[in-house]
Amino acid sequence: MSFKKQHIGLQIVRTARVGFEVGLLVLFLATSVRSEYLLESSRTIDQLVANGLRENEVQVNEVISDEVFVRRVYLDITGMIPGYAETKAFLESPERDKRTRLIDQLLNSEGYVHHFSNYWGDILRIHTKQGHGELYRAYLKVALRENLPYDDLVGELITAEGGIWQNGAAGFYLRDAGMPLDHMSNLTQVFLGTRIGCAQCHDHPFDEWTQKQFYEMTAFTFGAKTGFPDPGSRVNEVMQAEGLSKDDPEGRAILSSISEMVKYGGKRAVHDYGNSADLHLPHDYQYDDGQPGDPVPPRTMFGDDVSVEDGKTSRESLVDWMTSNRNDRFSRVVANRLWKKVMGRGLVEPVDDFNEKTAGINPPLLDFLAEEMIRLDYDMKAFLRMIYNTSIYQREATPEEAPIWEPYYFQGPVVRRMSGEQVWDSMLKLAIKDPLERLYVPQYEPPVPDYGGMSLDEIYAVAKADPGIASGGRDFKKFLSGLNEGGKGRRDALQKEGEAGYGDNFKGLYLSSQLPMPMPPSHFLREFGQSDREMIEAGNQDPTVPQVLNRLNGSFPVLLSSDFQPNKKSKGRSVYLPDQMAQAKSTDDRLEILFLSVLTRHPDRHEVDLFKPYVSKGNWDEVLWVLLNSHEFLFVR
Amino acid sequence: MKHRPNLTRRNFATGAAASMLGVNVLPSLYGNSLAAAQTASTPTNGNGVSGKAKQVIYLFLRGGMSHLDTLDPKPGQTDIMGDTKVIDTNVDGIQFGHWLEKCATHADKMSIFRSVTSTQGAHDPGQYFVRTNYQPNATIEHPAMGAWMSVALGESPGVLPRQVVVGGGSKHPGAGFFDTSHEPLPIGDPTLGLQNIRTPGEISESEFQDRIDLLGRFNRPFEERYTQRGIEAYSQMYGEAIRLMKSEEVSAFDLNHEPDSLRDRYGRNSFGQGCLLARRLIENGVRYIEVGDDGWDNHNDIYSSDRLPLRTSVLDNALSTLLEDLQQRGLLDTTLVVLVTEFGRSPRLSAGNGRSHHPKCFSTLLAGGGVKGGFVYGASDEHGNSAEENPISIKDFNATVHAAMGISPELVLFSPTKRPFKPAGGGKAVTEVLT
Repeated sequence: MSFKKQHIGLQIVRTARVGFEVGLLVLFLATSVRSEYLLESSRTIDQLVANGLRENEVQVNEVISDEVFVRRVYLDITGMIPGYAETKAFLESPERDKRTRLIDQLLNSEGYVHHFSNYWGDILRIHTKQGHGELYRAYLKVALRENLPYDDLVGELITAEGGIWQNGAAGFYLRDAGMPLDHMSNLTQVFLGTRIGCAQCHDHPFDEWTQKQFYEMTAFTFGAKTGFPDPGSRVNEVMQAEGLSKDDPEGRAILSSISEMVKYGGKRAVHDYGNSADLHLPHDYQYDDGQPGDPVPPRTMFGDDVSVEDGKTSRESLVDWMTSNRNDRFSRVVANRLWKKVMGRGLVEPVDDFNEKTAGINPPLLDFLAEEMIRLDYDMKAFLRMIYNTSIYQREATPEEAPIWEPYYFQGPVVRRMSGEQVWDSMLKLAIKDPLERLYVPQYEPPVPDYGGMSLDEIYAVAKADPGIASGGRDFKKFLSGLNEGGKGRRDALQKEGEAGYGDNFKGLYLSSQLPMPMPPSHFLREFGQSDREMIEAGNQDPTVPQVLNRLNGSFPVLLSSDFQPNKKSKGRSVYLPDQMAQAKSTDDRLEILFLSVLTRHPDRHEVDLFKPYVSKGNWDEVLWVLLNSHEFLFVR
Repeated sequence: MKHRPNLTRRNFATGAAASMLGVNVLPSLYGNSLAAAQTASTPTNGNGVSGKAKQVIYLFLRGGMSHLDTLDPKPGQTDIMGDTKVIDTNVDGIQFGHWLEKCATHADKMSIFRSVTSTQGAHDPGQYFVRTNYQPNATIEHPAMGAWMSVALGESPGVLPRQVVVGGGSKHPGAGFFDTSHEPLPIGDPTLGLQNIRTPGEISESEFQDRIDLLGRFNRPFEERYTQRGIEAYSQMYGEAIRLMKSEEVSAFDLNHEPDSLRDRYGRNSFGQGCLLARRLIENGVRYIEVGDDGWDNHNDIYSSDRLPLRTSVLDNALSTLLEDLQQRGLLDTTLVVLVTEFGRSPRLSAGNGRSHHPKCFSTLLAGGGVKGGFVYGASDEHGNSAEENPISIKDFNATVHAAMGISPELVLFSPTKRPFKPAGGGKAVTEVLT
């Protein structure tokens, strides 16, 4: 069964703007058919997992309560714990299929965009302080919000052309600008789960890759460049032909404008010099299959051979080959990645080190997931929905450790420490009722003139028509300096807007996906393991003393208890958690609100007794402090 | 549950160390005794173990430092030397790139290695290799150098942690498969030191203690249900953090105690201040401090003012001041200063006037505790392209660091899967440079 048609059908309905009702009807039918299909696939996954468990004599874990479920699924999809009101609404809902409904609701929320932009941002090493980074992230968020199919997303990233402000996908190349070999190494590691980086310098010692193959793969993307090759001599040539010289004022003005545009625009844009750009074997090439300096034509490292077709760039041919259904590595890698995102562990580990023989811990399951990925036409939300709706996801996390050197058959998800972003964003959720409400969608106006995709000759023409264009504070220059500072001007504006009505207490409290990535090394987010964005997926959950000091003595417990005593009530907006607690009628109710807010569950009898002496004296800050410092807060079970 | 290992990491490490060293080292690995530290540091065979160094400052330049522009310049070879000029040092016959003018006055304290090779040409596995001496592998987490020293030598004197990593980036292997008590303490920004070390405002000491007790009681059912190393580790880190809060030595992390003039000399940047912090930590008994620097990956326009010239100027100020400062305080004889990078950079300048990765041959150095000064080990060929004389691997270089610290590179400890591992991955120490 394939959904390709329905997918395209929906696109057509949307783009052709057929009558609204018809559109809704098609949408409804497609969604409900698809819905049933997905839930059926969820059952198949459960069956395949059960087979794996049986063969290896492992008992499946218990089904989780609604309390455990709601916390886990909010953290997994939106990257934050559920708020008090959200938890309450879910627990009290009488709907039989409320879990399925909640999964849908969260996947369609801005929380999904927020959390998954962090997730993919770590994989893609998005660095917002680099000149292209803010716009690259903005592009990724749009792609997630619109649920751009994964194969299309990858295609857009790999083939992007033009200025970063025209096409945020250009960020993928710009992140590795000037490093064509590393670019290919990153590309294959992320999208093909294959590490060929070592073959950059020599034949891969333990794997099948040769240095020549690495160069052949690199040849596919080698035509992409930032800036222009030798702009000086080309411009001189044209100027000479037109009888202009850098000695006359007009010639000088033209040259200076061109150099500004080339300097800022060229380096913030990807130009594809296509198949004419040729790569050569290195001067110290030492193997028998080639001579130093030999030109290297593009050639795939495995699977089908592709020839670069007329009318296509080699990058486009590469994408055709990668995303073809005949290349199952592509679907298997992303299926395994998303499985890990949901369950905490890949069927194949590490997720980016596949080879031909890689079958994973449960081969039929990995096969099935990869096939589903293709059947769903790389619809990532649908794929995630399918896994979140399995019975195996909705089971207790395995209490014992699952060390990486032992096979794990998925008797349930694994226990995970919250990511740095999840800890930070969850703190925000306690302080602000809806932190997503402060989300800001940046509007980037292209520079004037919009020369991102211009050739050097076109830039020349623009400069000739208006020689002073790039000197003297024109719009585009302002725009570019904003980009250069990582969009600082925009962030300042955002800050002003976001802080309106919140007061000083909330200064700097933005969701992680709204703040620069990465934050400075001393920031809370980095202390708790946010990636420095140097390496692919460098975020970590390692325990450290600075984290503990932050939990013990940092500012969140102080902020969150700031309103417990009326005389300390802060100016501006009140803090969400104490605000909720203030509405309780009894001490018991207050304790319940505190538990539901921080740990997403009711206190048990022993805990009520344990805290009685504190709450009876009104020492709520102490109880809150304990809950925030607890293992249970930090670990997702 | 089935499929559980009957060896936890804790009893594994104890068992392994005990079987290797012939003693029960439980107290030194997990308690306070120094006895086993002495046992471990006693040379067990003729592997050139010197043990004159007691502490290590491991300077790790991430991205790949160009050997040609720094420690291994090629006089007269203008085509490969780019903008770099060759200068004399204070030792006859040793020359540096002109960017390291201040360090050149300290060559008499250094053993310079000019024939180092690595098998890893990409940053991620390359850095992992430098720190652990092993290649990344899906089924094992290898411990970093400092964790090996922590296991082999046990407690360090004083209450501060045994290891600190300053500006180490996001992917430090830390304790690897060893117990989490061998994790280093990370410092993100040396100028801010260890943050949140005091209780906020109005909490009295007794109230704080009361909170800790209450937290312990609250955590217990969770700890009993979820028996995981990662969770245990937090319990242990709470203990460590509270110990630090109560200690006076914790002020070692506060650079505000240093005079402005000295802070300026080290350089007002993360690496320079990190080196100054390292010196303060050395004074307070921390055994192993890694200080990291980034930004050496100059594929294009390597001589642009924000690239090699900036990085080398940061390095020149920090390293020269560190050596002077340690010497003045009488700490240089027992402190081994290491300078390392994951690979060198290609002799041939690229079309973009940069240099690409070059693991085939590059340079590192040792200075201070237990090593000769004014000494060059190995040589590259005339273009700095390959290691011509006495090639050594990163493992051999790191084995030399261990040997200088009194740890035999032949020590064997077992992973939880009972595979044998050595502190420098089987590398052999270069005994010629040890004193």
